[in-house]
Amino acid sequence: MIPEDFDLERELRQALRPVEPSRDFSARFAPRRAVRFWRRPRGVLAIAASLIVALLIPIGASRYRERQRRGEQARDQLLTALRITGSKLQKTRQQVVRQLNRRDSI
Amino acid sequence: MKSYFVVAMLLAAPVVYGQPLQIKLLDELKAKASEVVDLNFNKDMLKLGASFLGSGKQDDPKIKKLVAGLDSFLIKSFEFDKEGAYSKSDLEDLIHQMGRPGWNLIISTDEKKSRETTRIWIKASTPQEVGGMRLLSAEPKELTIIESIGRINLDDLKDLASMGGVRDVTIDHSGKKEE
Repeated sequence: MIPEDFDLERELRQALRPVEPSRDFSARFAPRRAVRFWRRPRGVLAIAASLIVALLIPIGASRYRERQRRGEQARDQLLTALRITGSKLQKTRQQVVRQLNRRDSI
Repeated sequence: MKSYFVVAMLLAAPVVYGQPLQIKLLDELKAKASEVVDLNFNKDMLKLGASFLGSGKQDDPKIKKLVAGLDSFLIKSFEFDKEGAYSKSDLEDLIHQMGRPGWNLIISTDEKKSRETTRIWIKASTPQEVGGMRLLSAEPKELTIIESIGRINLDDLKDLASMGGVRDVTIDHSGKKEE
């Protein structure tokens, strides 16, 4: 039943009038929006970061092992080279000493 | 025409003077050898190898000091099953190539009884240091060529000779037994 004194235009004006929001309006909505905005990406970021770390750790470990292997090989080769050089120099020294002794005895 | 020749010689001189040891005959002898040590280190490899030496072993600090001044190190040592893998003229050719200008022969020994020939050349640098060393050691069934380029202190060389037995290491390369 529509009241007799019902004025549609007045009712509409009343319903659609501009109203100032309450003081805590933004306080109630802003944090929720922030949480909603970050919650999902943070989870995604964490998973992505874990995946990257999970990929990088084996790559890093493999590179470290490779460098270690190359270094140990270089060290062993270097020691071999120096050992041969040392023995040849020692032998040469003995030959020179022998020759000098021979000369002295003459 | 003469002036062109002189200019060409002057341009080529530094290249020839500082040329690393590249002797084709060595590749042929390598193929005949039963045991081969063929190692060639550039500065980076020397640095890497030295960085993996520990500090506990008695000779390691000396080796690190010796290696620190080197720019390159090459060693080719071949052992043959039987004599005659290289001829006298091969040996003379090697001696000739290793004693190129810039390298001064300081030791020359020829032992008739054991038929051993040794030559050592150095590249002069300062009175206390040499800029490089070349060594040729020939025995009836063994031939060794060594070339080190870079600063070597004479005391370090003496140390190296006394280190004749730097830790024994066995390396296996290209399927050939090496020491």
